Formats: sequence, C-alpha cells, structure tokens
Amino acid sequence: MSNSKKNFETRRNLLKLSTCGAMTNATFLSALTHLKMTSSVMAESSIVPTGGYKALVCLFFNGAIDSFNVLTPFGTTQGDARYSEYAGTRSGAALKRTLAWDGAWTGTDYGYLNPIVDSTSAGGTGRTFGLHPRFTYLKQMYDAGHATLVANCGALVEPIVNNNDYNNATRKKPVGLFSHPDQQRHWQTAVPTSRNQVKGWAGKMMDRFTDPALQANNVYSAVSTSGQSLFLTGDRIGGYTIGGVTNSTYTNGGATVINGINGSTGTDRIFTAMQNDFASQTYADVLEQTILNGRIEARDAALALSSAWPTATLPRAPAVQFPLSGLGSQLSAVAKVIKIASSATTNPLQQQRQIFICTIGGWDHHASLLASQDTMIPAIDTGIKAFYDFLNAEGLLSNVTLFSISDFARTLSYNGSGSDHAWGGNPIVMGGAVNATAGNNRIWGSYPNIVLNTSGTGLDRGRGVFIPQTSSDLYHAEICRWFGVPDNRLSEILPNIGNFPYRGTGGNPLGFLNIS
Amino acid sequence: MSHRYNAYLPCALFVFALIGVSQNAEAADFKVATRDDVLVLTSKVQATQFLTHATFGGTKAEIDALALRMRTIGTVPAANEWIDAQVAIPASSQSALERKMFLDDVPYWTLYNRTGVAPDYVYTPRASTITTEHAMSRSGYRTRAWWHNALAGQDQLRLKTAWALSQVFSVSRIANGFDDEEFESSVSGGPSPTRSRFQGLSNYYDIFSNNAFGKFRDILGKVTYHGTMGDWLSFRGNRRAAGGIFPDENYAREVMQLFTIGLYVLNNDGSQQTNAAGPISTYDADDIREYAQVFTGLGYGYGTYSPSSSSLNPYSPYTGTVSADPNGSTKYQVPMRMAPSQHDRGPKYLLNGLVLPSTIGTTGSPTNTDADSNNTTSHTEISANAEIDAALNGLFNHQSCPPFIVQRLIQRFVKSNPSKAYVGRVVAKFKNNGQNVRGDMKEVVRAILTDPEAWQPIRVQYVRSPSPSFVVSTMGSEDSRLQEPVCNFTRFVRFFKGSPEYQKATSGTYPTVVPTPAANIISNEFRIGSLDATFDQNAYDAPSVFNFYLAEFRPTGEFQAFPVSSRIPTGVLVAPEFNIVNAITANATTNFYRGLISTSLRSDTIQTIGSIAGNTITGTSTTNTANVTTLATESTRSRVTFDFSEETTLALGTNVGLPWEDDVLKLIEHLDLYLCGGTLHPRYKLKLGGALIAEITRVNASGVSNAEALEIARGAVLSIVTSPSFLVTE
Repeated sequence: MSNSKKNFETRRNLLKLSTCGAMTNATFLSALTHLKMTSSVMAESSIVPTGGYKALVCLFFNGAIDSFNVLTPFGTTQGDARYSEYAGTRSGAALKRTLAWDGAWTGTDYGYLNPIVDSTSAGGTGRTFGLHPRFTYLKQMYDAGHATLVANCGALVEPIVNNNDYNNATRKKPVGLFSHPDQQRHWQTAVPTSRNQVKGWAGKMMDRFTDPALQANNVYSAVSTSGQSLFLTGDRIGGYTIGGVTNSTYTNGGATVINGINGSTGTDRIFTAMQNDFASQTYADVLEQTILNGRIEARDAALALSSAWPTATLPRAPAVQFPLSGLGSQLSAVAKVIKIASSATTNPLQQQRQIFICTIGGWDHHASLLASQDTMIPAIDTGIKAFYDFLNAEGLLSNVTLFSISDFARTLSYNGSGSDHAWGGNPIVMGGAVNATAGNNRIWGSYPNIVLNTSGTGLDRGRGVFIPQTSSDLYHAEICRWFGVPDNRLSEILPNIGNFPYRGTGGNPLGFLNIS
Repeated sequence: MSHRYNAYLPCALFVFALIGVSQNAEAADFKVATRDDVLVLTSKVQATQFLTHATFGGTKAEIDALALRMRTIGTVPAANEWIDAQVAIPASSQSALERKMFLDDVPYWTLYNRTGVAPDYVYTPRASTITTEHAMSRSGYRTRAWWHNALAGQDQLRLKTAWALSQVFSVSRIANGFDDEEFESSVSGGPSPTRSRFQGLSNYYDIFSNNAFGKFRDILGKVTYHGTMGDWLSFRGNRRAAGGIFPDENYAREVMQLFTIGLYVLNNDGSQQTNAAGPISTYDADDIREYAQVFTGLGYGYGTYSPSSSSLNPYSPYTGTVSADPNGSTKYQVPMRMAPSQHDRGPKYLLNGLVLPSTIGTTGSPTNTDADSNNTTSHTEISANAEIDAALNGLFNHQSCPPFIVQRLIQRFVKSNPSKAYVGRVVAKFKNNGQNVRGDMKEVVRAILTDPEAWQPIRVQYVRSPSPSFVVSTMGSEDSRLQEPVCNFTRFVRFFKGSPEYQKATSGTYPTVVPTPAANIISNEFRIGSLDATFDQNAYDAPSVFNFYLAEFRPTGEFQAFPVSSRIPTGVLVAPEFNIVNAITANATTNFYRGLISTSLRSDTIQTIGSIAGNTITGTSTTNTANVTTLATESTRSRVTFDFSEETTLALGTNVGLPWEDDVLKLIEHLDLYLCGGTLHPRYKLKLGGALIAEITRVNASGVSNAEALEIARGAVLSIVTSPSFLVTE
C-alpha cells in the first residue's frame, strides 16, 4: 500500500518510457545462468566433474510396474530361484516358463520367459532367472554385459531384515508405504520420512555439479521429457522440460519456442515490449513471482535450444531411428540433447554432467496384468534398445547410464485379474558402465524365494508384499558414485545412506557399476 | 451524495481494510472523478472476483449486472441472491449434450450411406481390420459437450461445482477403453459388453452436475456404484478371497486417500492431529485389506439378474442376452449391482472401531484368513449392499472427511491455502447445514463463496490526495491461487464473447472436390476438442486418479522460502496448479492465446472415407487408398471467433490528437477491471501503457485506422492474458 501514491504520481512519466528495446538472442543466453539462482544456494560446495562427459537417464515406470514379472525365477532345482514357487504363488499372474516345462503354471499364454544367468564366473550365485517374454532386447543387452537388474530393492529408512524386525516399533519405516504419491516421492527424493520434501536427489546432486563458475549453462543439466519433475528439483536446478520427438518431426531441438517476439504486427510489437520487460518485474506475491520466473525461463531456454540446434558445425540427428512410441520419442529427444551437449564443439548446451528423466505411465495393473504388460513392455524394450544402439554408434556407451525407478513392485498374490500395491522391486540398469562382460553377468541385490512367508523370519508383509533387502539408497549411491559424487559427499544427497553398510567389492555401495 | 456513499458502500469493505494485516500488498490505482465512481469500481471488482470464483468466468454483462445488485442490496446479499438463482437453474447434462451433438452429425456421416441402414446411436459400423481411429470418434463428443456447457451453460455455479467435484473423484479417458467404439453387430466382433464404453465418462460426470447442490453422501454412493468407477479403480468383478486369490485393494485405498478422509486425522480447521511420533495416519495397509473385502461382488447392472450364480461373470452378476441398448451404454447408465455369492463372508474390521460381523454372525479377528470367512452362508444382495453402505457411512462420518473435502473444494473455487478459520467455518456448515444435515453441498458451496476470506484477497481503498483515486491492492501469497489453465481459457472466451460456428458437409468425390462446409451450418455450439496438449489439463484427460495436479504440490524457488503465517493449517504453502506448469505448457499456452487473439480458434478437418471389400473404412492415411473402391469426403469446420470491438473502440479513442495517455489508461483499466479484478501489477500497467503509446506513436502519422486500433487492442489483450496478474487470481 505504501507505494500506491508514488505510483500514481510517477505513472505519467513512466508512460513516456520507451519499451521498444528488443532483446537479442545473446541477451537471452547470458540471462540463462541466472535463472534459478534466486534462492540462497551457494552454501553447498560444488563438485568438480572429471573424466569427461557423463549422463544419467532415469526411466520412471509411473504407477508401479509389476517387476516380479520383469525378473522371475527360472530354476527347477532346490537352491535355485525356483520357477515352480513363482508359478504357484503368482497363480493367474504367472508367466509361462518354456514349452517343455511349465511346472505349476496355470495362467494365460503370453509367451515364454527369456532365461538369463547370474554367473558364478562373475561372482554370482549361478542361479537362473527369467526376463519378461517381451524383454528380448534386454536379454541381449544383459548377455552382452551392458544391462543388469537389482533384486528386491525399495525405499527404506534403515535396514529391516524380516517381519520380526519390521514389527519392532523402534525400527524406522517410510511414511505412506504402498501409496503411489508417497512411494514415488521416496524414490525421487531419497527422503522417505517426509511428505514435505520438495527436492529430488538428482536436483540436489546437480546443484553441486553446476557451479556457474564451472559450467556456463545450468538449464540443460537436468532435463525432463515428461513435465514437472520432483526428481530433478534442487535449489539451483529446477528441471527443464522438453517434448518427446520423433525422427521426422524434430524441430527446435524439442523446445517449444514462443512465437511473435520481435514480430512485425502491432500486436506482436506490444507483446514483445511486455515480454522484454518480464525480467525487470518483481512481484510480492510469491505465486506471481514464481509463474513469472517460470515464463522467463521457458521462453529463454527454448530459444537457446532452438538457436543451438541448427548450428552447422554441430551434429544433428542421431544415426539410429527410435521407435514411434512414448518412450521412443522421449529417448530420441534425450539422445539428441546428449549428442549436442557432449559434443566437443563449443555450443550453448555443452555440459560435463547431465541428468534426464523419462516417464512412462500406466503400470498400475490392478487388472489385466498379463495382457497389459504384454502390450506395454515391447515399447520399453525397443526404446531402450534404440537408445543403446545410439550410444554405441556415438561411442558414448560408457558415458551414459540408464536406470529405472518405480513406485513399488506389486503383490505376488493374484487378485483375479492383476496385482496390488507392494514394496521391494527389481529395477533395470543399462549402460557400458555395468559391471559385467559377455558371459559373465550378475543379478545384484538379493532375489527372494517367491513364497508367501508371513512368519516372523519371513519377508512377506502379507499377500506377497516383500520387505526390500536392498535399499534404494544403495542403488542410488552406486549411480551417484559412478557419476562422480565422492563418497564423503553422498550423505548430502542421500541423507540416510549412512544407515546401510556397503556390500560391493572395493568399497562400492553394491557393485553393479564400474566406478573409476 | 455522501449519505449514499455511507449507506451503500458494502460494509464488508471496511471490515477487510481493518483486519487486513497486509504482508504483501501491491496496489494499483484507478482514476476516479466522483465517489459514485468509487462505488461502481468497488462493486465491479467484487463482482469480477466473485464470478471468477463461482463460474467459468463472468461476461461483461454478468459482471455489470451483479455489480449493480451489489450496489443496491450489498455485496454478500447480492452474492447469496445470485447463488439462489443459480441453484434453481436445471443442470446442463454432459451426456445428453454429447448425444445431441452426435445425432446432429449423423446426417453428414457418409459412412452410413453404405448400408442404407438408418444410423442409430448404438453401433458404429467399423471394420475389425481398421487400425486408424474413426475421425468421427464418439469419444470426442464428450469433450466438445463439456466445453460447450462450460462456455455457454446458464447453470454456471452448478457447472463449476461439478468441475470441482470431478477433480476430487477423478477419472479419465486414458484407461479401461473408455474411448472404445461399439461394433456393429454385422461386423466381426459384434456388440460386446467390453466395447460399449464411450458414454460412461459423461454419464459418470453427470453425477456431479446432478448432485452439485445435493448431499455429499449421495455423491459418494453414486460414485462407488458407478460402472465407470468400478472399471477405473478395478473393483468391478472383485471377488471374495478364495483359492489364493485376494480382493483387489485399489478402490479400498483411494476411496479413503482421495475421496473421503485423506492420509491424516484432521481437526475441524484442517490441521493434522499429532502424537509423539508425528501426524496420526487415518489408516494402514491392514485397514485397506479390510475395506477391500467390503468392495467385493459388484458387477455391471444390466441383463438378466442371477444372484444365485456361483461364479461371478467377469462383467456382471447378470447372465443371458444383453438387452437392447437404446441409449448407448447401458452398463454405465445403471448402477453396478451385487452378486452376493461373491461378496466376502467374513468379519470386517473398519475404521473407528466399526466391525461388520460375518454372515454367520461371528466377529473373528481382523485377518484375511478367518475360518469365519470361509463359511458356506452367502450374503444376500441386501446384506452385501448394507456392508458397502456401512463402510461409506463410516468414512462420510469420519472426522477427517469434512476438513479433507472442504480444503480441496476451496482450492478449486477460491484459494490454494485457506486459513484454519476459513476451513473451520466451512467445515461447520459441512457437518451441519443448520438443519442437522451433514454434507449439504449447496450450503458448503455457499459457505465457501461468501466467506469473508473469499473476498479478503482484494482490498479496495479510496484515496483523496494528491488526486482522487481508487486503489486496489492484493493480500498476496497466502490469499491467491494460480488459476487452472482450463478456467483461464473459459474466462477469456466468455469475456470476449466467443462466438462458435460449426459446419459440416459431405461429398462423394475424393480427393478432387473438397466440400465447402459453409452451406451447412448445423449448430452454434462450441465444438472444441481437447486442449490437453497445450494446457496439460482438459476435462476427461487427467493423467490418473490423482487428478491433474497433487493438492499438496509445492513449486520450487522463492515459493519454498516464503514465511508462512500461523493461519495456514499445515504450516506450508501449496500451489497445486504449478504441478502442470513447465517449459512446454508455459510457451504453448502463450502461443495459443496469441493465435486466438490474432485470428480465431479454428479446427478444420477433411475426412476421407472409402470401403474395402464391403467394409467401411475411414482415415486420412493415403496408404489405404490402393484397395479402396469407393470414396467420399466429409469436411468439418469448427470455429470460435472473438469480439474485441469494445477494446478497439477504446483504442480508436486515441485518434483525436495528443496526448493519448488518458485513452490508453481507459483501455488498460477496462481490461484490468474485468479480467484481473483490478489487480494488474502497477509496473505492468505502466509498461503496458508505454508499449501502447509507442505503438500509437509509430502508426499515428496518418491517424490510427480501424485496423491499427484492432492491432493495438489485440496487443493489449494478449499482454493482459499473459500477465502474472491474470494467471494468478485472488
């Protein structure tokens, strides 16, 4: 209120101000580095990336993929992960093993599991597992030593070894277990004790990798192909959204550019004048200020990407054709940004470290589980394969790691059509950094016997809800360590990591990546 | 006239000025000549504010009429009078309009010429081999019907309330085949109960239109028994536990988490009850399993009822031939019905100590493996339904239900962060409407809209010196709300007198002759398709049962650091609508408005139709043409044009010579008043004035022409609808 009279008095003078100064592209670009630096973020000391370009791609199965049908037991003998236990427990939700041996299988035919081995030659158990029948390319990547899975992995605050341990009232547990928004938040924030957490672990990590003194452009360090992302939100980093693109429709690098700025109509001249003034405006109402900041960032970052894209000296499209699917177009967009950002040619998007998130929803298969997975998994399998081919073709396979997250796995028992909300699951990791070689492959974590043991020493919370025996913190820690986060800085990003003893050789959290 | 000033200025204004401890006030002023001007401006600000809350946007005529009434009988009495009048207007039906639009189009469907059979509403001829969707897809009609109702419906308060409720009980077209066409009986596949789905969503939505001013418990019951919800949350066909198969837990969880009580035990003011371990949860995983047993045995309610059937038909407790289906999708037009033999027989341990005994009268213990559950005594339809009723009553009467639902509704109507006092006042109405009725939606909505806190965000003041002016200021962060993109669009269309035109034509020659639709105007309906790709929001397009955005969403940046007052129940500021703001929607929305303002909203389609081996096909893909023997073309034109004549006239006023400042101000103040409730940020106002003057200066060499004035008006409108003050409402 105090400024109202002053406004009145000065209004007419201000009306005379020229507002026609057009912002150039250079002005936009120089403004980019300041976009997110609005809160007090400089307290964290930065981490200096070494060893060249690295990127992480998080594949988020929104809605909780039934990952005990992604990675199943395949063994037939005592001591192996036994398919017969799986088939008996999962009932109508079980996938078929092979033509020759279906054991207790009673379900509907959706093809045969793809067998893989946890090799003793790689230090594994020698047990055999099945990948979903539609994960045929994933099997190839696993066998080649470029993909793996981590078994019974989930959000924990501290280790819980069995039901007795769970029932110990002093044992800390995540809030909102088995609820979609809560457990999605757990995987994305690594703070499973709070519903008020607003920063993702990737955002916190990128805050530390994106000191403006080290890296010119922060906006493209954390990119979502699927809208607003808690996972990518940090203090300085907010997660920039680009659209999924297909091979043929790629324009402006996936960015949606505002039309009409510096246009030639009267409408556009007035519009341009107001757009050019946005950065000078401040609002006391934090909602108005936040929407304004978002509009400025969206406008300028889109312009930066689109102006970087046509530069003749930069590579344009990847050689690999991506499938026309939700994930295919998202990974295609990621591939194209990676290709520019990792380029040796100086350009506005150039980065040392980048993280992406792609989201594929529709996995909440309370009903029609088998038919739905049969329909949906091929798009995942071919999408990951195309991305793998792209990385190989570009010589980036060891520079990029793709890993999956999902709300939780689903109950092992059947509800007559699908499965319900559970806990520990089996995420997928793909990249040249996977610690395996062809013929020497590992399944990491501890794959449980698929039996419903609700006794005090069992893991089943009822209906086949398994207490995770590998913390998602360890899973994330392995990824962060590979990305270049020093061991003594992990707790800034994963606050509960100290509760979980490392299990990998050479002091690695789990061991599934080659951490140099 | 001072007596009039004192007598008629709504007394509430002075109350607000006194209680308003403004942390964030930002003020803009309007030039006034007399105190009458002040009264008029005040009432217009409040009418705009009220109609922004209560409708899909006030037209100028509506705002002016309500403002006049506010000056005549006072602000709140006028608001109550308006609410009473709105409540009396019959509901605009989504499903009926969807059907009408469909039938209006039928004569233009060359598709039907093939068989000579009169088209009906039930079956769409379509070859089973066709992979491209029919361009006349019936699923699009529900979206067009929704837009037309929102933009043209007279029952605006009912429509807005239904929209709010639909965002609590969120369903979406994205799953369960809700978009599926039905098949003609002569085409492979035949009429199938799994395929007659497309009208389920509009029928479900009508629950909210029809009961917007009814009872919350009725809405909860109708939702629970609706086949659309049964499919959406997968409890239709849910059976009692047997043979290692357990009841689906989906509805049991979400009916608590999202539709009634939420995650935490709440006080009447919306704050969370706590103990030593922190906030108290309303339920745990074991409770969900108990409720899952309650929601067993329901199936579609059509056909020949066979309650004694020992095995539940996957679709229905009914057997025999599917009866005639004159209205589209029977299974979604009648409530689900119980197959009692499939309803769980054991005891159920529900919240707040409610125990439902087994069918043999035992209460056992709260586990899933009770011997009592496996007894041979089946429920009856009555006893099984009584269990569902008892469970829903328990949730409806739970202490968390009123504050949980009230907070969500206030977020949809007024503000993102209602104070404890505001929540408490509306909760009191929810619990008892004054006549010992709980959950009376009419009184809940009235309490939300007429509460002092609904007006508080905008303050008005008359300042005498240095020159008389009318000052509008806002209370700031805790009192505002990022408006939904859908509602911003409706505000725009309604204020600028969006004028729809819908045309259709057919031709037998393809592709050389493209039919001209102009000769066949068949309606003046808003046939607008989904805008989800631009907004990340559109009716029927929510990404999940968690709606378009999470009620608890908090954007990053300055927002996080905001010092929240003790008035806010949970101690943190939320802003759900930021959940759908990103770099794509932000720019796409700006481009969308620039397109609307520069030209119009238009969607022209040309659809080719042909036949292969006796089966009709459709699709614009030319890859099909090789085997096509006959072809026809349909064209459709749907346009909405906007009226900027008043703004253009204001811009033309500048044509009479220098200086133009006063005329430019009139244009800006006109837009500010009706679209921003007078809250346009002072700097924005000044800069926009500068930009308009610069443009006038540029073109004025030979005088501002009509065309140039229109450009200026459009520039002003575009600048307003892309301003933070328009996007954030008070």
